Amino acid sequence: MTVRAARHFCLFRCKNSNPDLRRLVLHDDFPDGVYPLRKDYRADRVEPRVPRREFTFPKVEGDGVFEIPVGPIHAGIIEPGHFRFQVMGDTVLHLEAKLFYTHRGLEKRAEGMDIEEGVRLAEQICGVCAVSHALSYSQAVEGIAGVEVPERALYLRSLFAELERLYNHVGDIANICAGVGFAYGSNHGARWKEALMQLNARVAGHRYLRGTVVPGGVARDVTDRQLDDIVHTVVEVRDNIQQIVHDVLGNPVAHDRFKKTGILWKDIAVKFGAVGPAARASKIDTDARRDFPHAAYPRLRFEVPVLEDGDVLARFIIRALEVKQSAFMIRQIAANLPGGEIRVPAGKLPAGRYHLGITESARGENVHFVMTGPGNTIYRYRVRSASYANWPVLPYCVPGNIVPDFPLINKSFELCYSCCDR
Amino acid sequence: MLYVLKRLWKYGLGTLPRDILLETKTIPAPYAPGENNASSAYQGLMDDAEAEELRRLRRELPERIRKAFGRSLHIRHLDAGSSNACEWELTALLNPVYDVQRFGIDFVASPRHADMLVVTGGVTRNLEAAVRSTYEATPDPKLVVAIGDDACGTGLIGPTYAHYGGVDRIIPVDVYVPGNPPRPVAILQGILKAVEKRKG
Repeated sequence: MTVRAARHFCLFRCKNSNPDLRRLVLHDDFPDGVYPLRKDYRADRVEPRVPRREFTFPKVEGDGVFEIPVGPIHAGIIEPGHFRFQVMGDTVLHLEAKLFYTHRGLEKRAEGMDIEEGVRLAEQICGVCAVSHALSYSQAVEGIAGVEVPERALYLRSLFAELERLYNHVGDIANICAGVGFAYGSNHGARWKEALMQLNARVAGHRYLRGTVVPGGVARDVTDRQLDDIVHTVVEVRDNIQQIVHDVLGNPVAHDRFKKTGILWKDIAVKFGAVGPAARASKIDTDARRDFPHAAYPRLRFEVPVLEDGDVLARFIIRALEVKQSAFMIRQIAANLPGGEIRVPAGKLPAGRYHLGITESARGENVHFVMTGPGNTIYRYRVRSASYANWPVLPYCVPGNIVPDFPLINKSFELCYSCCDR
Repeated sequence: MLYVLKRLWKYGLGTLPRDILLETKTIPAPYAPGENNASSAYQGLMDDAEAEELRRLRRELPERIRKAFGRSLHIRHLDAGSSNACEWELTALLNPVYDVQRFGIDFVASPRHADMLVVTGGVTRNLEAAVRSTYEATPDPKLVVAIGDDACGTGLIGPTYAHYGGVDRIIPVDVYVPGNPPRPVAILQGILKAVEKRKG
């Protein structure tokens, strides 16, 4: 499996028993012997291009079997990735993904960077999980520094994280409807997503909530007026989304397309360590907000919905259920927001220490590893994003389905390419 | 009724029906009068300056596009290694609030159908070949708009072993739209600027 094998990272040189030695992160025209994450490698080195070597895709052969290559540039407004379908008629027999087209070398770029500045880079990993990535990074840094984050900042972090989850889930609900060409759901969902984006802009000054979370606390406070605005908007979005979901599921065509499409079996999900809503829709009870308590989540009441079917329908419904939970949490935060400081200085960090930061984004847990170097800099930075964990299970959900259902299955996972490729 | 007449006076006939449609849905947001959040165009959500700018674009863009192309403007999006935020802002242009198709703008599936490329991200090494061939596949005369700080070459990431840090290092760029990511209205302003350039 393409992405799975990438965990045996070819940015270092390690000999291991990995059966899949294809070039994944550094594509086929990088010279041999390039290992960017080694310390003697300069981050901005320009590598010559060598003649392309073949990237082999497994082939299914036989009468009436065809291969469909798709990408890396897709027809819609989405990110780049290459897919190879082996099909017989309309049915997919095998799917292989080639990713890492948007690999920007962020982990290498971070090395030597100032710790405070690193959080800006963490936000660049992914546009739509910016809060979660910044939070993971900040928690890792705070773990090294050993600082206590003020209570108000913890609540505000949860507030921003839930606002991020909300706009993602509402957008995903719209997108899944778009995957079956159901304009009612996609347009109404897009409209409410825009309402949430503009709420973000009013509250935090940024539609994607970048620049809110920093090591030692948060950079933006909210006023009581803004809290009223947040609760008012969020409750309205929640009510409307419940109505939209109800209408979508009442439509037999949409329901038929969702049901039993792209099933993620529990054993596959467990084997590959799937996370987030995709795992929770496949009977895996996992949620970093509860399992690795962070921000103000230990002080908030919420339920973790878990469904059994593992199909597109389950992933659709689980998002609707989580929208409810997020709105509930935001109301609790607004009611119980304590006063006081919102930020403490992280101070000078000792060199050679490391720590993990784990948070739950709208796609699952984001894990950041930060190790400090001399002079308050980053020595090594490693990101295991939720999309990185979930990409390997996607090709297992597609075989047996028809080709036109692939966009729908893909959208129901809502995997981010840049999160995975970094 | 008075309200309708006032708007007619202010914005002219062309924009009326949609405005009314949007504004009747305005909900009472919990803001005191005089604060700019409550009074704006769509459900009290955009601030006044942005809503006004969107109205200006609504008046100007269709006219400019008609003058420059004699028909609608077809745009091809090209991801050259962005962080996904710019993509979602481009998608937002198609939602019911911005709805750029009413301006005579459409996003197309192939560069061969496009008048304009909007490029997001600072071109990764793994995508360089795809960026070049997309540019070549776009028929002349073509416009290229770089969206976002990384595409403009002013981003935080900059050049690394896998990233060029700027679209203009690979293909010529007509208009830069800075922002991290730029707001949808700013993207529309960039598109308008590029269309004006085509005329001149």
